[in-house]
Amino acid sequence: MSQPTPDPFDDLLAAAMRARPVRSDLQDLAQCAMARAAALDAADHRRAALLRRVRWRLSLAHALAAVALLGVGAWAMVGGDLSGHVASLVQAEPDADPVAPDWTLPPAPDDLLPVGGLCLAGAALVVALGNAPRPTT
Amino acid sequence: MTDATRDPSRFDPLALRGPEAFARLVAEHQPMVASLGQSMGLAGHDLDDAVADAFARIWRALSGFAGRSQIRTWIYRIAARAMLRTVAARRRDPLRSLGAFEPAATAGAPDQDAARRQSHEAIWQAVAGLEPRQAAAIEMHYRQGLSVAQIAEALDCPAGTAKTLLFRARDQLRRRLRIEDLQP
Repeated sequence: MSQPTPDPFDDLLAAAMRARPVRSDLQDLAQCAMARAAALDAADHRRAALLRRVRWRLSLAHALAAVALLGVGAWAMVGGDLSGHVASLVQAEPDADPVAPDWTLPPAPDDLLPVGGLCLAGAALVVALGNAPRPTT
Repeated sequence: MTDATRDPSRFDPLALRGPEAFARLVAEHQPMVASLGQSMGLAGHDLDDAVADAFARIWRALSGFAGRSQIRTWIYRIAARAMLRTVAARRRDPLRSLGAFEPAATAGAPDQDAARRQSHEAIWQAVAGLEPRQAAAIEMHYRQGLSVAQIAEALDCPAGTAKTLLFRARDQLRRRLRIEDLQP
């Protein structure tokens, strides 16, 4: 088997690259690198703590949004029946307190059924997003 | 490669941990890492910063080094990633420029004649102007003598990609430099 012909350009390139002087006089590089690594570690810890806080708040926001959407969706789907039910729950003893507010929800119009469906679907989506796996730090 | 780096005990991952072992590792591999940065066009404070950053990441990763690959390739892998990040950041910053070389005091030995030095500087300049991964491939292959497989491992890419990087880099250098103007 014949050897490939050496390329003069390759030889030139190798000679030039090997001849290049290289910076090797950096003082206390190991100490500097270790100090920098410690700073990077500290920054990572700060970032992780911030992420944990953001996630906790996001979870809370998800839960609130899911409850709100579920409530609105159920109200829109069930309509006046739900508002009456809520009112009966809150006003268990209407005569006991004469200054108690009149807790009655306005009955939902019949054409709100699609909106209710959308709200319930939105609630399901919010719950799913809230439980979606996230990359770990 | 020195005898010290051939010593298998030097590749023992446990032997590399600890500040003293790390200081030895830094002293031994600093020229290699700095040279990689120089090939990518880093100079002066940018180079110092990038080298320190690379070794900081190496120090942080030392606990995860299992000794499955050669220490040199492993260091190259981390250093290349750090340098590529630095170069990308510098290129985004319009106030900084890349491609500068060290002052003449550190460039070129006194016994080199002017023509050869000029042609070498033209080659260094052309390599520094390449896309950073291509420049890294040229540095690893032509200066450090790494094989295509080792370059692929260091650059975290398939061997075919490393081969393409080398081929394109050589092709671009050929077009930028006129071989008849270069002195061996």
